[in-house]
Amino acid sequence: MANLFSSIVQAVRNVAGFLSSATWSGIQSVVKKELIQLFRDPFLVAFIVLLPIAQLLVTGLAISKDLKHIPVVVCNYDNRNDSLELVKTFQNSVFFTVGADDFVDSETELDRLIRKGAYRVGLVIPPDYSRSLLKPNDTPTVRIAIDGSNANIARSIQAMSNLVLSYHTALVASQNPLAATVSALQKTPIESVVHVLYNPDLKTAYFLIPGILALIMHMMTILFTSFAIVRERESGTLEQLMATPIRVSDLMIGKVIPYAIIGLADMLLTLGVMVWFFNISISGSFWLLLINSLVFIVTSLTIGLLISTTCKSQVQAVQLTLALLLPSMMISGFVFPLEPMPWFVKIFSYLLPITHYLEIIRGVVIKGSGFAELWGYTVVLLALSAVLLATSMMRFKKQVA
Amino acid sequence: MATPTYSNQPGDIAVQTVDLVRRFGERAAVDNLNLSIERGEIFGFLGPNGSGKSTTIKMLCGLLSPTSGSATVCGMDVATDPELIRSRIGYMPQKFSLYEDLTVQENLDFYAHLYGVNGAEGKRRKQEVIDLVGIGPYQRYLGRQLSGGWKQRLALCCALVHEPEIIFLDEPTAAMDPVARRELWDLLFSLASSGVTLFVTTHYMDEAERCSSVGYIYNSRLIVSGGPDELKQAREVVGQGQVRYELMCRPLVASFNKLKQLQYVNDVTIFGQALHVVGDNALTADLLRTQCAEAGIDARDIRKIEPSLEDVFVALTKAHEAQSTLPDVRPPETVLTKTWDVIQPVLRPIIQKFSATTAASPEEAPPNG
Repeated sequence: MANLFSSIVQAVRNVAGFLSSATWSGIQSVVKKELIQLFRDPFLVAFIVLLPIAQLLVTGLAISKDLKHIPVVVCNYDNRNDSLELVKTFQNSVFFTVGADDFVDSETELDRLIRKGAYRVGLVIPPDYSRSLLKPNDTPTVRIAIDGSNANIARSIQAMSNLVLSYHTALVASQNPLAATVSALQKTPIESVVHVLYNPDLKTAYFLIPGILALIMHMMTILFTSFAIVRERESGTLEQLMATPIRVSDLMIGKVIPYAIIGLADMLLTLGVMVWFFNISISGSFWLLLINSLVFIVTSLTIGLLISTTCKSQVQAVQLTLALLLPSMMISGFVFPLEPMPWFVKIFSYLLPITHYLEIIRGVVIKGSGFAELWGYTVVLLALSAVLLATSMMRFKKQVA
Repeated sequence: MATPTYSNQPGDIAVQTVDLVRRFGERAAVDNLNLSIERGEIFGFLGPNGSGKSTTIKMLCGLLSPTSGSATVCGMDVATDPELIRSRIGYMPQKFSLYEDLTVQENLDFYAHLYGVNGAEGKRRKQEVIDLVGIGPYQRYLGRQLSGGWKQRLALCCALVHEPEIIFLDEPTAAMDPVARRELWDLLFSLASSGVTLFVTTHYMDEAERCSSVGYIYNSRLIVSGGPDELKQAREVVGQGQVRYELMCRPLVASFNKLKQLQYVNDVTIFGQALHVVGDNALTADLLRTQCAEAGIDARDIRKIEPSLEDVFVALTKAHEAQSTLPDVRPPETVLTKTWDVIQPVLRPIIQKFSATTAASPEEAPPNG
């Protein structure tokens, strides 16, 4: 740990050294050249402006709808009034729909339809349902069949159907004094009132869309700089450039600055889509989010820079970037929570900048967290970009000499 | 930036290398190179492809570090002062290496800026190189819209904008038509006359003839260097008592075959409508004439000639080919061959043992089996 710390300190010192050796005029000329080249390529401009928006729209629309109005296949052996009431409760809930065509005669038919994938859930009402509802010592049992092939959906359906059933129990109890005694027996001794903070509706979109935004921006900005130096190496312009007295620091910083500006513009565009299209308002400070986003963009750009100094061709650069995409999705807390991961996976998780930025963007957007809660993540991002920048500069120096 | 110590007297050494070596793996791309180029010279660096010309230039420009030996450019060591050297030299790589998506003007602005040529001075200097090269009408063209000749001129512009003392040009005329080639050389001469040292690699012998001094590198080694006229007197070329004659014959090919059979004649080559005969010193013009008459060759205009640079290099290359063999190159390694190298010592005894037992078994088998 002390070793890691001292090496980070050394890297920061290196960066400081490089930065102090950088000349403004050198940086300026590289920035100017990069911007001219960038805006001369209409395809690239379209790519930079439209791609993040399009990606956010498509993926956002795909995941923003929570499960609702799931069709239920019903096999009603009872067919008396009470059982029809139960079906009606299912039908009236926002979670399920039961159409006229959704009734089958046998349980085997119901199972077949679920196996076929026509329905995700089925309701089987036994022949003695109404009778046992009226018997004081009997509890009617209904069978809920759920397609478990997608565990996430199955779990949600299970929760929803439980909710509907308990609601129906209460409904029946209020109308039927005899049945009331039955439900009284079933009644749980402790009732809990759950108060969900920050995202009261428990909308998946609230949680996922800021994450998707972060992921898109991460990939975009890494790609920006991972091409930056490889492209010049491939076309041979790097050789000519290296024969001039330009400093490595000037070149590196000159490559980062224009893309940081463009990355920030992209960030504003995608945040706009999030706020006005997906109606997810930023609970915390917009400026805090923007400054942290800039830090995150710079960190991603330095990753790209390191890829760029490592690779010999643009194809290699793309491959390395893609290799980084999967862990950025899987172990960053983007989809799966970090807490249950084993410690050796967690080490890699915390080395990924996106892990920290996810905490920041979710914190500011959903919880309205402030600087006091988030400064730790900002510091980690800054340290990561310092280490990455120093490493790419040192690698690059060796290649030139 | 510290002021480097160097004097501007004529006869100064602009480039000097001492036992310069660069290896790529086991192979030496440049082997014990010793060069000395005076200020204001046009030095032509010749040699076949892959002989180490570009590697040498890259080392002198500080783009590659030497494996051993030393090199000084403008009086500064390439190993210790690459940055100072870079600000005082110009480099024109073999391949067009400017930005194809920037205009001529933007490319020039960028390089002027990088070399710290700014403000009014920069403006004056940029106009100067534009006028010198004559690229003015193309200023708004993109790099990719220029033809090969104009690309090279633009590259020269960018290499000249900071008034370098030495310019390294790696095959500047490789992809040029004859007119553009001639024009570029006129430019180079005018640069040389203004005191700039030029280090030019080339394949073309006519270009080599124009240089004030020439070095010939073959198989990573410098075989000879000196003025073109000095080289023509080199021992390998004339020292073995060889004479050269040019004669006009008709019919050409029949005469060519007959000439080869004559006494004292070592080599005959066709040069356009003429034949060049290389022979021993004993072969005088009169002897050649009488021999031709006896063999029934219609030979006219027999005259003694000096060897051309091409003759020099062909003779030198042949002399060195006889001495050296091709370096032994291992086939490129793959993961599989490497793995094989590792498991081979383990596997071999087992295989041997196995083959020994199978070979031995028929003998051990009972005779009636």
